[in-house]
Amino acid sequence: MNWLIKGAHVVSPADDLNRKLDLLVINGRIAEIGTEIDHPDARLVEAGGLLLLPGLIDLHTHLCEPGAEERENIESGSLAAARGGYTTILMMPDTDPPLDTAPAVAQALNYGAKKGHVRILVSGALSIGLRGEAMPEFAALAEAGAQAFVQPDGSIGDAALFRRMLQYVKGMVPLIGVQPHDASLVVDGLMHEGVASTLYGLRGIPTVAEETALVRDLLLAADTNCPVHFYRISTADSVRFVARAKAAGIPVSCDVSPYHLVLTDEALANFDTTCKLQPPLRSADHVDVLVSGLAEGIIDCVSTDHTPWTDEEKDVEFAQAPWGATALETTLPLLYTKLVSVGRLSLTRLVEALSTRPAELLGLRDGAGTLRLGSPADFTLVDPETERVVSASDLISKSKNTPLLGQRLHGWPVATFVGGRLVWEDVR
Amino acid sequence: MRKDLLDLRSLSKQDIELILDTADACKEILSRPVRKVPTLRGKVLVNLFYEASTRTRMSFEMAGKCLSADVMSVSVATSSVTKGESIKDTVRTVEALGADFVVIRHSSPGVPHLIARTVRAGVINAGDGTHEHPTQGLLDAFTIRERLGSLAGRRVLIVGDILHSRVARSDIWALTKLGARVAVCGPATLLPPGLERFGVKVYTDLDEALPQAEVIQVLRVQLERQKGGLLPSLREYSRRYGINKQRLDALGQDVVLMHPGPANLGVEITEVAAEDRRSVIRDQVRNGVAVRMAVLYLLSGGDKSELAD
Amino acid sequence: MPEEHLVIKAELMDAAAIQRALKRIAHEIIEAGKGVQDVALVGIRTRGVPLARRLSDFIYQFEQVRCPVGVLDITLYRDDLTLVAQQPVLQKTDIPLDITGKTIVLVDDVLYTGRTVRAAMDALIDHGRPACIRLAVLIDRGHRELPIRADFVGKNVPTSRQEIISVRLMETDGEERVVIQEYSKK
Repeated sequence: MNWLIKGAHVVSPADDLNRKLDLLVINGRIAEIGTEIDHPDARLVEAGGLLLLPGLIDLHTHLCEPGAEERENIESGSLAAARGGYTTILMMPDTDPPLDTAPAVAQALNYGAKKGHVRILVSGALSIGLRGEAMPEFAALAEAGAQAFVQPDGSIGDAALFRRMLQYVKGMVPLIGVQPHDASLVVDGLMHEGVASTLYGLRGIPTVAEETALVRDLLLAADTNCPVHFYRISTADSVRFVARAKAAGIPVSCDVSPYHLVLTDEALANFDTTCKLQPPLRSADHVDVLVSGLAEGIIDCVSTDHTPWTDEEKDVEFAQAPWGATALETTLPLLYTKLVSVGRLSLTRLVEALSTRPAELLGLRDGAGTLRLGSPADFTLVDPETERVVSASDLISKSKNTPLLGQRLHGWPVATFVGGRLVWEDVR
Repeated sequence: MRKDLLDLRSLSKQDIELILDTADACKEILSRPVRKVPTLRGKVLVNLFYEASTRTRMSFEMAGKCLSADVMSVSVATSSVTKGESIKDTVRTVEALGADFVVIRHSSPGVPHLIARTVRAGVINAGDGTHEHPTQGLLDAFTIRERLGSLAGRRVLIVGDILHSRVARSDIWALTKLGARVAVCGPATLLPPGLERFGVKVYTDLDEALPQAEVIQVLRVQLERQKGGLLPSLREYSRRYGINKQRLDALGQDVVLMHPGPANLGVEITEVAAEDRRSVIRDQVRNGVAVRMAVLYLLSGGDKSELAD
Repeated sequence: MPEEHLVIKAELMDAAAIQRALKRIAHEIIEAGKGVQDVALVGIRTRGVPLARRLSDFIYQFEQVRCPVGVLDITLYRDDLTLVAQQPVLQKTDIPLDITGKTIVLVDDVLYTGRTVRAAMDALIDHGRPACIRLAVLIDRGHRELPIRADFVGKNVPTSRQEIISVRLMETDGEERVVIQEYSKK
């Protein structure tokens, strides 16, 4: 399919583009970017007033297939991704069975390619069964196509084991990811420890539960010289520790979830379980540091941690409710509305954080995260103006556990292209 | 007044005063030969208790019966909960049976809020985990007001496990809203962060905190806290934070001693202190019925038509 | 929609008329009971209470016997509570005597549907078993919905249901008169 997108405002930091341009797609690849392009055999899209961004890339998507297809499956999750402007997602290994064997990884890749509306990359489990106790056959996972080894929701508790893992896997895959989390300090905590936890009577999770795990793993990354990516850092001191580690040349990177950039622990005032996230939503002083950390590039990127749960699972007693929220469809409009529109984050930096930088961290060399000539035409068109209310009936994801229901956002994607194929279009 | 009583944090001073004034009138009913008025005749009150409690349940039963409501009490075994029976399903069943009020006690904070969103019946929080126990906070405020006339400027000290105490939270909101000067005292591992933000003074040394107090509310210390590693031993707790005759006597004859019950006699309070004439523990129990009657009465309002007569 | 507001149509009683009516009722209470040894007066909140106190004072003037006065709040006995959006403010009932075996005179300002008196009788009986209950009212305006009649009446006033009888007393309203009011469109 050939496309000629006319008059969109193109923003691609990797290509140093930030102006009104035309984009020509021939045979699924980017053929030309410029002004006044004409082509007889391309479908014309008048995109005046829209933004054109390189396809977004998520380092952290829970697709729930196989094992929990009532929450989400590859089909619904990847369509939700397309609707959110994503063209590549890294699938988490916490399926049932988990992706800790080569056949499981191969099957996930196979299903992803068959059923996925966007490009689905697969991560292998960093430990067998994600239990944090033993190494899976890393080399076999990598040969089967795993793009990353991750422990998506926690650290490897045993420091000696994590050190050996880093020594062993170094160089096998582009990304090794953990979420800094010291379970012994979390105990049965349910939210950020602070004034709000005192108000709501919910057991607090101290910030040191994240920071002690983070600092330990920064030291192990330095010790092994193996790159480590930290998922969803959430405290002011975590940002400072990562900044110092990077300045010292330790090969680490980190991301933040969209909700931790926008919501505070006060969102829990009504015990709304959609706001029960891991790590917990923090107080405003942390949120401010996270936003500036993202703006300054200390935080590399934003990952959605899209975590679907059915109403039956999620709308229960707060203490019993599982952690996590869906996010693929709303991350771009949320951050566009709450950070870019109000001048707290530049659009360029947002595109870097949602596309350019994740592509680099995943070691993608085929032009993902860019609009390089000749590379697959993965891009999304975004309407920066039209406001829309987030509503359960409007969401594509099978699960509706988002804390944003009822919020008015703008900056919604209107069309997403993967390899030149129109995979999602806002028919309104 | 609204449909539900979920917490005291969100009530205004005026709301709380209205409840206490109404409780005054309700208390008179309890002194009559016939301790029953027909106000809630034909209404159904269901006590839904997911956590063992004899006192609070009996108190709500008594309050409902004094107002002529039909009262049912259901103790839900936690085993059927863990089996996956949805609490929303349970309360919808209770409502389908005709409940006008659901009184709920649960170990998880926020469950009353979840239920209030689920059913049309009035929901009263009878204690949700470590969050709040609003009727206890109200009856404590009522008891102090009855003893001292007013709470404005009164110095109230809450002693014990503040971190895990729903009673402490409800007391703090009720008493501070009514103008009392509240202080708390307990071991640092059992104090929640940020209390100073609400004008509450925080002590870890009981003998430093006590001399300032006109009212002392002694909290029950959960025996599990020692196992959880929050306390070295109950003996050490008792030595540092226990209220005994000696500590009581040092405070003079006018101090008001309270305990929400049930007390671990010999741990946070000695029996001699609990039975002292300065103790109002029995008044708290009696006032609990009046306060809960007041809450039921105030929540029972119907639609918008004007007064008839 | 023109705004509706209350206008006074006529004054039914002035201070002197109220006083005369109460004195007559006091005499009637004494006569009916052949003395007042076992009589207690119970005022229904709000305006029945000052009326009961005044009756007690007049009886004391005439007989040198002090009849005890009780205060009854009948809110909890009303049959229309669930129709009311905002619950009425509950006030204390205060019956400072054992009413068993006594002659109780219930006192209220206006007798209308009879529902208030029904509620008051229920409330009273919860305090004990009086020998008999009598009813004294300053105004009887008709339109009874229950089989209730007053034993002592200050003034009978035929009214329409649209009209409102407003008794204003020094103790509660700072003035002393009875007026008849009606809503009128401005």
